[in-house]
Amino acid sequence: MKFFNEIYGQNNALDLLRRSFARQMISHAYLFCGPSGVGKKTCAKAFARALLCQRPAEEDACGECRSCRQVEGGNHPDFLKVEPEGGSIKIEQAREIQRRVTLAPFQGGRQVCLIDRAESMTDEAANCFLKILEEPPAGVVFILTCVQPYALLATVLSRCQQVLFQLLPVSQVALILARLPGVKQEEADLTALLSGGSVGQAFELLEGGSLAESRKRLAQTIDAIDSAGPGEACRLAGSLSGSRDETLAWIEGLMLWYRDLLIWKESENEKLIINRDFLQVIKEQASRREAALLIDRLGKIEEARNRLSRNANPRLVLDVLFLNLCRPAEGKQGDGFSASRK
Amino acid sequence: MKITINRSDLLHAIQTVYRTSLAKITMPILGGMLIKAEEGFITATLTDIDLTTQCSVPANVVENDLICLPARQISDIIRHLTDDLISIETLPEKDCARILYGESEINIYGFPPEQFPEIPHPSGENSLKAPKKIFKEMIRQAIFAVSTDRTRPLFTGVLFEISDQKLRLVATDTHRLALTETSLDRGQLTEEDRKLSTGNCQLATNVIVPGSALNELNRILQADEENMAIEIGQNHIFFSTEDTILSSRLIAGQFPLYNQIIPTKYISRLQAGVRETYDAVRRAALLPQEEVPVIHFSLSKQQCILFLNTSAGWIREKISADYQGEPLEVFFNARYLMDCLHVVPTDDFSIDFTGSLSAAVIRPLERDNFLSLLLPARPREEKNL
Repeated sequence: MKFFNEIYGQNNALDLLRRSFARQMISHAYLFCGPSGVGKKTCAKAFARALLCQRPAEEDACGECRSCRQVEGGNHPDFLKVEPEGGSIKIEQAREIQRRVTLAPFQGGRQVCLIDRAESMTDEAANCFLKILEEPPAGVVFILTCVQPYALLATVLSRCQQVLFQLLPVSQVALILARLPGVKQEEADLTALLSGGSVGQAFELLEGGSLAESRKRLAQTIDAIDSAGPGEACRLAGSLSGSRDETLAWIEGLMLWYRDLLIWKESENEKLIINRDFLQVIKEQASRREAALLIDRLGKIEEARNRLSRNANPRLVLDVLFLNLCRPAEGKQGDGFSASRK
Repeated sequence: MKITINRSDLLHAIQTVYRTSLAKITMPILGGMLIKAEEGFITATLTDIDLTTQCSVPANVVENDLICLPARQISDIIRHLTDDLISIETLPEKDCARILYGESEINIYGFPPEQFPEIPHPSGENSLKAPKKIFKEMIRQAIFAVSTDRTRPLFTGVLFEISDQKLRLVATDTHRLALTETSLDRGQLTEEDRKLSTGNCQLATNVIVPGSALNELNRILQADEENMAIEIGQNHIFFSTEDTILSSRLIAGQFPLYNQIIPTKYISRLQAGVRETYDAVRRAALLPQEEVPVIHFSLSKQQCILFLNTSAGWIREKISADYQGEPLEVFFNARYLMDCLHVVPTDDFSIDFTGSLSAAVIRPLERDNFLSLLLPARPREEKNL
């Protein structure tokens, strides 16, 4: 478990939390919002430990008292952690929160309730939670983390103090990665670039095995799609599709790749390219494509990513995307999927 | 830690606390039982955070210490031992205990004791004492009216109110209310209690105790004449008997002002035998039906009649009762009425009515330490027969 000063990059958020802790001006509910993998939960835990600490230092927990060690061991009786059970936070969980916070604290002092991915609350759960927030019990601090604040009830949103988390600078992510055992500087730099500033995503990339392998496949796919007919497009989609997360990773990979192509086309600046290790391929592919086509495809990929986030079937999303990509950009004809439905 | 103890004593302690682990375990440490050896006693403690039970038994303590062992395993192991004398010692290795019996031993790994929740202790001040029997009866008379609706946690508790030299328990689920009280002015008061009951005490004198805690207390409490102590702390309430302390977290919040809803004017009054009425209502409720049985009371000076019509049949019961006031047609939920009559402490009871749709008050005859408020049900449409 980390102390505030061990958390990188989120200086605005940390300053706000440290200040309010030092002055003991603690709000009854905080909403930590920002992209995934940038330290919201890490920070929430650190804040919770500070709030529960029996001998807090000026701006942070002591890390040594019984409370701190209990929080660290996941055994603090006044620290309630709630996370989605199978995709969403259910009404049963919200009721349990309600029951727990209506009881007096066990060890005296505060109670802290950490709700991870708060936007995944079902409607019933959100309404039940809203009821608690409307009349917050004394001495209870809620910490919500969420990626999409607009997916929360407006009434919940307005009752929380919002703390914004940002993507980390790529150099910062590289620094963090380079400290891990067995990670070379080059690998750290590249992974950091690909992660786009999310430490969580960078870790996933590192765990996901060879970075070169998957992007080699991307490069091949991009060449193949240009000459493919509908049947071949669906076959390509089928070979890439997998779980929701895997599909999302492929779509984001495609997006970065097309971005690189476009950037090279427009600027010919090597420093701006993300997939640096494939520079030759990028140069070659870019020379064969028009900027308008690249822009059009980026739009289609973006569309596919949105569909995926709205819970569409991953395989279908990929099918539709590849069918769209395999036709030449024909200006106004637009979305092949909706056109065929008409 | 190094202790020697009688197996039966240890088993008593472990079983007393072990039974209370009811709620689902949310933190790893709650699967552990804390065993503390201190000055000739060992204390076993188990908690599910809401409810904590501690039981102390005498032991030959050679070395004071704490250890936290998996509750289920330790309970099973001690149950299956056959030797009378058991020794337990902690090993230098981390959080490990060795249980020696006869010429054999069991070694068992535990949890770091510091991870165990900090157990609240009664301070010994501001406590009041009452015979277990009386207290058990009071719990029974209040607990039936506790709500099970988890969306309104306040009503899942029982109000403990100490004022005017009285301890009063009140529970309500908004359809009915039960109130029972006992006088503390029977020489049972300690000096501290007197302060408490005359309002000199700064501590809150009304708190809400979760119904589930009282159910558990009711279960482990023997109905005898011995005293038990009740102490209200900042966040907990403690119930102590000679070797056991049960403590529960309090429900934070303000209990509704129940005094305002107890009517003071009545339009009519019914007096009847508890047993007879209870049996009649129960027979009526036996008729199979889809919904809660709602019983029609037709009351007049001449006669008191219970009706119940269902698709399966109908019943008409005449009870011998004394009714004073204008004739009244009123409907009651049979379940609620039975719950209440079940705990009326006398042979006869009275119901004071305020109207066919407003609260009725049930009281035992010639006793004023219990009352129950019951809202009549709305009449269902009579089925044609």
